[in-house]
Amino acid sequence: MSSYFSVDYMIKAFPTLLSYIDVTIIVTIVAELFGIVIGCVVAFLRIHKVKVLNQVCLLYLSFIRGTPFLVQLYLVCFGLPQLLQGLGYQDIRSIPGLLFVFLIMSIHTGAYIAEIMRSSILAVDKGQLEAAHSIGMSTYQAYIRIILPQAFQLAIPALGNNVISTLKGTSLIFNVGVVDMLRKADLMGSYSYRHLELYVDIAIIYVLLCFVIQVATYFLERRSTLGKELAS
Amino acid sequence: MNSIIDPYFLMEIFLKLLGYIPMTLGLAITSMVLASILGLFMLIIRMKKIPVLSKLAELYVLFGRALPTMIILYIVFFALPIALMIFAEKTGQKIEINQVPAVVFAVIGLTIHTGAYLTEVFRAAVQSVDKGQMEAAYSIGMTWWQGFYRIIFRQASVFAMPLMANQFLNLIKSTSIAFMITVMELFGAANVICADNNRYLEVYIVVAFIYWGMSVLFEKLFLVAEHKLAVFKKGSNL
Amino acid sequence: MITFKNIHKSFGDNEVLKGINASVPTGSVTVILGPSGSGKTTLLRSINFLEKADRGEIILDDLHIDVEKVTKQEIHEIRQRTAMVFQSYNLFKNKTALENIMEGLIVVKKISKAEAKEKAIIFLEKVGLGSKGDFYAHQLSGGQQQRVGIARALALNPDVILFDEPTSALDPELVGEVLEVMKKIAQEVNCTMIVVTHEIGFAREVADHVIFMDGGVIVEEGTPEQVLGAPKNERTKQFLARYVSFTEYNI
Repeated sequence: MSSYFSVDYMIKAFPTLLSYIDVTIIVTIVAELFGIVIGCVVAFLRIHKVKVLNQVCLLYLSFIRGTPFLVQLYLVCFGLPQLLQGLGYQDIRSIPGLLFVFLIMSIHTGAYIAEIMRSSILAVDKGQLEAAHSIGMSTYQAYIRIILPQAFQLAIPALGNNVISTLKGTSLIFNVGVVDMLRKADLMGSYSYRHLELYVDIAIIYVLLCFVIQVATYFLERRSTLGKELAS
Repeated sequence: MNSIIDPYFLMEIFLKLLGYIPMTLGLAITSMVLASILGLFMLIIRMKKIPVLSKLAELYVLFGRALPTMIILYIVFFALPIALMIFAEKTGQKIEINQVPAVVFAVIGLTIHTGAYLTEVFRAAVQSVDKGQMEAAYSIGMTWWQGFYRIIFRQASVFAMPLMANQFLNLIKSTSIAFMITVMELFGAANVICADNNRYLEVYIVVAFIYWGMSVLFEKLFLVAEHKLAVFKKGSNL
Repeated sequence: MITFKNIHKSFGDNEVLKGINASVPTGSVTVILGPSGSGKTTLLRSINFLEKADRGEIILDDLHIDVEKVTKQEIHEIRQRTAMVFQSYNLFKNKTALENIMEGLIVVKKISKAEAKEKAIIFLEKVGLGSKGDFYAHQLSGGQQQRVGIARALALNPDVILFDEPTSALDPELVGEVLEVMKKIAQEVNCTMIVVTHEIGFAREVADHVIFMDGGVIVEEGTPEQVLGAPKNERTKQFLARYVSFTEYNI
């Protein structure tokens, strides 16, 4: 049995692979943060049906949701540099590849967060905006101070799921040259020919990360509902 | 290269890639059908609370949903040959592992992944059916299977349909990952073209538009189907 | 004849049936009265094993079931010989009114589709809904749904029909039509009816036998004249005092 699957090797390789977890986590966090910013802006434009921009947003959402993330990733990481070059920007090599990954992951995540935020904002009582206006706040102020904080509380479970999706998306970025756990596993596997052990290790890491996110979401959600209960 | 994007070249790739749509859709449809069967199977195991099996089903759903598709695909790709080898050794049968086409691995991987999601979809759908419906079925003397098949299953399908459609749309996109285990589907073919001429921008634009077109088309199709279905729900506020 | 012997049932620590002994003669109409939480619905549901009692015996003519040792076969048999009318109607939502009635005939009684349809139409007419055969549940009023529910039960020609608070979920103005249908059945069809209800007027008018339950036991039973006219037990008197004034208010 050990000739087919070496538990020893699996255990030995685990710390090595685990040491690359920072790339995965950083990419997830960056994508999620920028995604939230994009998502909130798009949600705002959609809800208030801002002329032209609303149509642009719809197109953006449809495209991101209608095409595979892998294709988007390749399009931005391989296609975009070519476009920049064609437009006369020759110094393409000086842009770090990770920047393209951050860019597309944020754009991708933003589309999904936009829908989450839209429904959360719509779920916030209409009277809140009116009340904010009535005390003289601008719409922008009302959103920042009143609407969005409430919407985020409602959105916690959905955002938690979104973080998990983003995390899962990071399993594809090794394709465009990012050195993460999967790239490392690829390299190690080509020496040891023990791919399965390495990918089982990675599977374990992903499951653990998912679990951590779920627990964090749970506590955040509980804290927010507790806060609401205390307030009422 | 004078212009950044050459429309004739775009057309040429487009026509070339069209030929790979059947492969992509074939992968998606086959996996969807198998995953539905798998999901239904898991659902029944969980509903009937079969000991051990129902715990295993729960575990499967947990892992199937927590793992990225790519990793499931890789694990299947590397584990299945080993499993076959062990099987061959134990039974003394000769199995040519190299003859198993990569598509098979892709279908298995995608089925495992989608099946986990569908199990949850089905469970939610069954839970959406009023408990009294099964009681009524029992009360007129139906068995569990009769009640499940004739009453619960049909009502739950209406609830599950849009969620399944959504799952299918996701699956079409997920098939692009199959190229990583050497399956020649749409995206795989696109990458081969890229390797030939290094014109990433055009090729990936075309391939993105093909996926986009398929997604929009199927979305519209499912919407129409949904309206036709569920006569008994029309007008009800369920 | 249906007989209960020493039926016990607990939900967790809460004992809802504390040894019920009773029998219902074939062809009779028995009404079970009692305040909510008295265990009357649980008793009714334990007959067709929608609720499995913890111990005791249920005897339906020749079918003798020891609840503790009940087999799937026995549950299936007693379900085939009984039918139930539910508080919340529970019409199959994916079927029309007619199909609701046909369903049991085709699947359980194995009657051909054409014959089942013929039969279903007769029963639908019997409950006064001959014109509503192609309607789905949500297109019918609560009273109409419940009448279809009654037709569905009747069509199976069961030994016993169990009525589980058939009018409790109805708007007051719809209660009458359902009670009317039940009364008609009691007179025309020779089938045992066990009715859990709060409609004391119905009990007085239609029942052959009245059982009053409270706190998981049978407090008093007898003819309507005995139980409703001259109750002996204090709890029965209190209950009646409250409900009679309440129902008469309604009328």
